[in-house]
Amino acid sequence: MPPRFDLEKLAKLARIDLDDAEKKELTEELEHILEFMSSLDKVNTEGVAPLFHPNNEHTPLRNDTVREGLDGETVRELAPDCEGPWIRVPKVME
Amino acid sequence: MDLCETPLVQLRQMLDTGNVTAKEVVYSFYERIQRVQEPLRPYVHLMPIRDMMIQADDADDWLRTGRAGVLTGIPIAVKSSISVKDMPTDCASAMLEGYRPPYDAEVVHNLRECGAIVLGLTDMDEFAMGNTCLTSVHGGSKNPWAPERIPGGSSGGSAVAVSSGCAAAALGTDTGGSIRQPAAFCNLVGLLPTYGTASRFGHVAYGSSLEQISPMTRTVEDAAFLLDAMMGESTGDSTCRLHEGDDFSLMAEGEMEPFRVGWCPAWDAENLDKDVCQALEKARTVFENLGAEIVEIDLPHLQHAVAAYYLVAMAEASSNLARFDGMRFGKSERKKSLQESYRATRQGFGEETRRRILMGTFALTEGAYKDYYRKAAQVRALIRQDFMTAFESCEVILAPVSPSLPMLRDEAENVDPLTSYLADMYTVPANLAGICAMSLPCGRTKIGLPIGMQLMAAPFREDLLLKSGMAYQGYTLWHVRTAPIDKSGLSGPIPLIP
Repeated sequence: MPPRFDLEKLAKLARIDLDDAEKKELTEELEHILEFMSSLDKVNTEGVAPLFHPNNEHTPLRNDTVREGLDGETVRELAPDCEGPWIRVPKVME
Repeated sequence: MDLCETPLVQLRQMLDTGNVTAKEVVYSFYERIQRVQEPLRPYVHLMPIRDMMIQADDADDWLRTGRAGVLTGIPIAVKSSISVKDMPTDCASAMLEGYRPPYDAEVVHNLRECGAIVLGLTDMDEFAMGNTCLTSVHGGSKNPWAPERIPGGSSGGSAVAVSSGCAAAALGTDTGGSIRQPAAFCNLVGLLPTYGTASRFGHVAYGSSLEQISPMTRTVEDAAFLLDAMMGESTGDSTCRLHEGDDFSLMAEGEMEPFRVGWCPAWDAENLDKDVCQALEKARTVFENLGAEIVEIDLPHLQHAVAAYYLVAMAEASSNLARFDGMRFGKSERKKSLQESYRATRQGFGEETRRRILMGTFALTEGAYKDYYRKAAQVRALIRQDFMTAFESCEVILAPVSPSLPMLRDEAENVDPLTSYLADMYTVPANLAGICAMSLPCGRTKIGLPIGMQLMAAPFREDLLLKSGMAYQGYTLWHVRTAPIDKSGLSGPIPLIP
């Protein structure tokens, strides 16, 4: 049976590089895990509303008060590459 | 009793009455850490002794002048996925090597407001993905009851810190059992409060709809006490409910009436370790002696919990971990293009983390979403419904924590991923269903390994968990036993007072 997934596509979507040995190992492992997860097929879920979150009822609102955020300097200290007041990143549009 | 092995609430009383000073308490813990850090490795980062003593000095000052908070002078350990200002909160991953958060997580902030002394950060499975503590980039902590064995995970280091007397209590996180399982493996109490109880702001997210930050302590009383201190107004976590008037310590007091303990007969027949099975049988007898009625319950969809849990958790992980792009903080590899930079940076993820990101990415792809992720969420609804029905006939459910005992480290290293996931079968249901649960010590094997049991209760019924847990610990002594630190060849030279 062909694998249920296209590992190269997944790796591309997840921005993860895989070498050939990893690809081989992961294909087997993921297939094995997915086969197990397919056991959910046996559960009758007709008409069952999915539960994505345990408390969907309400979100408590906090008071709309001004508070201090992180200052620019603190943020820049964490960043790998800065120029002046900016964080520098590689060119986004190619 | 050794100060390092004294439950938090008793330490509090000793400090309040002036029987000990904060300096004596903190120095005792420091001395213990000096002895066991090397062989057991609970901490991956420790506050310098000088700073510890400065904070202890301040604590003594507050105690003398009547300004002490409920945790003044109490040494606490924190899992490395919970932000502690200026401490390397790296989630045991190379992805966050050297990252020091510029702020405290809200729970850490609350503990400090109460006077807690945060000693350091503890080891864990990378990004909380694992149940062995072995996926850590730091190598993982060792079980104080048997150093050749795993302490469990993912909050393994926090469990080791408390169990080996290197902190009076610790914070861990529980996404699918990460507090309850290591607590069970290290003879501690691990409390998973109902989703939405503690603020997750400042926690490095893994499975956002599943996880809670929670206490790991020696006793049930301590767990309630620490949870009270963790609460506070949350300004950064919109899923955190308001806590006006909640008092978990008060909830823990009093009798259970009615007191019905649910037990699923199917669990007897399942692949439970023989020692675990016997310990749970004895626990049922203890509850009967305490006046409880044991009622049989049925949780028909629980057999699908592991599959549903891992699909949900991996999907959420793939999304949460997308933030590690090497642009703003943490590991960063710069290549010619943006995409190349991303990929080079994300080589910093460990094996298990990569596996889960890829699986989660799959579950959310267009072709798989309906059959996997959405299906898992539907099964999750059925599991929650099973619990709600069960809680109509009982106040708490008694369950195993782990089907097996802590493995040897080299044995655990060679377990295949699926087998490892299946070991979470008794802990993941509570996170999926959004109920509260607690593991507590209930026995020991012939070779002296701790055995834990689990109590579960309906959402926001921590009162039932705490009351029944208190009743159990009032009747048994399993939680009083301390890890055989001196017998396991862990004694080392005791340093001179600086």
